[in-house]
Amino acid sequence: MNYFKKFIFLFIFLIGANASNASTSKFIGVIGAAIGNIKNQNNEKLINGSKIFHGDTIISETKSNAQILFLDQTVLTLGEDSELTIDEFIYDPSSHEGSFVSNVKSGTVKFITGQISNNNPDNLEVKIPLGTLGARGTEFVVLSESNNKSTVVLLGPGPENSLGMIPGNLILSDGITSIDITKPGYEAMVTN
Amino acid sequence: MIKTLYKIILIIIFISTNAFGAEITYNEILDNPTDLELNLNYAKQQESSGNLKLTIATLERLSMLYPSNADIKLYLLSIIIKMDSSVKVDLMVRTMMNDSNTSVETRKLIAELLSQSGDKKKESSKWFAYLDLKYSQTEEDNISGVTKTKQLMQEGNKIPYTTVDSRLVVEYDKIYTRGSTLTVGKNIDKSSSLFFNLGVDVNTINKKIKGDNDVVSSSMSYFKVMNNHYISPYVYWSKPNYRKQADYDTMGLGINNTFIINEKNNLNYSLSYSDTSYVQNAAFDTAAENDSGTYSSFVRYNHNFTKKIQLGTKLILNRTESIKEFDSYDTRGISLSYSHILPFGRLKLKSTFLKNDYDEVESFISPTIIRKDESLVTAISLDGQLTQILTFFKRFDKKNTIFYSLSMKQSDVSSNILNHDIERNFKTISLTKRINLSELF
Repeated sequence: MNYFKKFIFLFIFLIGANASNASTSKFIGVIGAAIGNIKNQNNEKLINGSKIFHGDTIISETKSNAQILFLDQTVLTLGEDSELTIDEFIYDPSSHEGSFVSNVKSGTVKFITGQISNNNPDNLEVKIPLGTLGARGTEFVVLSESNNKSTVVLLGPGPENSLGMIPGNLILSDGITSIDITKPGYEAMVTN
Repeated sequence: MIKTLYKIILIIIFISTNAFGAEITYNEILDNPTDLELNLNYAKQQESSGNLKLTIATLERLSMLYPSNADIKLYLLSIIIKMDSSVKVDLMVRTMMNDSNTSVETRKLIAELLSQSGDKKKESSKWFAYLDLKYSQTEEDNISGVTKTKQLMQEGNKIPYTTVDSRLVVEYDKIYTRGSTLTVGKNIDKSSSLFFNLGVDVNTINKKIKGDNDVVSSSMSYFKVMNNHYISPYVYWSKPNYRKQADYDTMGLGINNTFIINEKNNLNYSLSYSDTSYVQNAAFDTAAENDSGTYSSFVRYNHNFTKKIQLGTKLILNRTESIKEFDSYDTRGISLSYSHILPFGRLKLKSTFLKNDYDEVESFISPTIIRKDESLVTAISLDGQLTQILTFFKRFDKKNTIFYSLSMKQSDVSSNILNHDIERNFKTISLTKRINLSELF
C-alpha cells in the first residue's frame, strides 16, 4: 500500500512539475521593436527579439515605445509611459483557437487583432482600469490616463475600406452599460 | 480523360508547392523581427495574399526601427488610405509632415497619394460601366450525346444508335463563341448598388448540323450589405435563337445571400425560380409541350484555409415541373470545390454529384421504367489575368484588362434509361477583354 501511495505521489509530482515547466518555458510573443527603455516586471531590460511569457508585465518609460508580436498574430504597440500585463494567453496554432486577456494599467496601447479574435471575437478581452473591451476584426487604441479615466478609439478598418477587410467593431463596457463603436475615429470613455 | 485530369492536377499542385516554397512564415518573423529586407518582403507577401493587418503591423514596426526610411512610411500610408479610416490617415500624415526628416519630394508624394484617394472616393459615387468582349472555343468529344452502350431504348426495346439518321450523329466537335456583355452599375449609397447587364453571344458549331445559335440575355441585380450579410436579389431573361431547333425564352428571379461568419468561414444560400417557354410555330408545332419551370435552392459553406485556399461544400435541391409529366423531376445533389490562388491565376477543382428522380414513365421510350439519373461532373479550371501567365504582355496591357480561362470538364451520367447514359468531355479556352466605359458618365 505504501508503495502504491509513493507511486501516486511521485506520479502527481512528475505531472505537476512537467506542467509547470511547460507553462513557464513557452514564450507567447516577442518584442518586435523596442525603442528607448522597455522593461518587464522583474526590471529586466527588453530589447528587440526578447521573448514575452504568460503573466509578463511590459513597461515603457518616457520617450520609449515598443511593438510586441504574439503567436496568434495579434500585434500590440505600447506608447511611452505605458504598462501592460498579459493575464491570459492560450493559443492552439492548428485550430487558431484560444483566449487572450490583457490588462492596460496605464498609458497608450494600440491593438491589431490576430487569429484568436478572428476565430472568436469574444475570446479577446482587454481590461482597462474602469471596464473591459471586446473587439472584432479591428485596429484600436486604448488610453488609460489614470485610474479615473480610460478612452478607447477605433482606428479601423472602416465599412468602405477597399482592402476586403471586415469592418472594425469595439464594445466597451463599464460592467453596467456597454457601448458599440463601429466608425473609425469614434471614441468612448469610461470615467469614475 | 480522368487520368489526364489527375496528371494536370498533380503537375499544378507540384508547381504551386514549389512556387510557395519561398514563402516567409510568421515564425521566421518572430525569429527576425528587425531584419529590414525579410520583413519588407513579408509585408509585400501578406499584402498580395490579402492579410493587410499583418502588412500594416510589419510596416509600422519597420517604421519604428528605421524612422528615416521614407519609402516604408509611404508604403504604409498607401495601405492605410484604403482602410477608410480618416483618423488613421490624419495621424500618419501629421506625423510625417511634422518629421524634419521628411523631404520635399516625400511631401509631394504624400499629397499625390491623398489626392488619388480623394478621386477614388468621388468615383465610387458615380455610375460605372464596362464592356466585356469574349472569345471562347470548346472542344467536345460527344456533341450528339451518343450513349455509352451505343444503344437507345425505344418502346422498351434496345435499338442500335446507327439506326438513327447518321448525318445528325457527330461525336468530336468544336463550338466557337463570340460574345459581348455590357454592365452598367450605380453605387446607390455606402452599402448598396444596382447592376444592369445586357449580353449577346453567337455560338457556332463546326460540324454538327443542328445547334448553332445566338443568345440575347439581360439581368438586373441589386446588392446590399447589411452587417455581415451580402444580399443580392436579381431577375434575368435570356432568349436563344437556334438554327433548325425550337427557340425558347427563359425568365428567372432569385435571391442570394452570403453570410460572413468570420474571416475563415462564410455561408452562401440562394433561392430562385426560372420559367422556360418554347416558341411554337409551323416548323415546331409541338414545341410548347416542352415548357417548364424550375425551383432551385442551394446552401454552400466555404472555409478559407488561408487567404489563398478555399474549400466549399454545396447542397443542392431543385424541382423541375414540365408540361410533359415524364420530364418533371426532383434533383438532389452535393458539390465540393477547392480553389487556390496561385501566382499565375486561380486554380479551381470542382466535383458535383446530382441525382434526378423523374415523376412518370415516358411510354415512347419505356412503358415500365421511370427514369432515374445519377451524374458526376468533374471540372478543373485555371483563370486569371493574361499578364499573369505572359508577363511580357504587360507592355501591351498595362491595366490588366485581358483575362484568360482554361477548363476541362467531364460529365458522366448513369441512367436506368439507356438514352441518357452518356459521357461527355469538354475542353474550353477563352479570352475576355474588359473595356472600362465609366469615363462616359
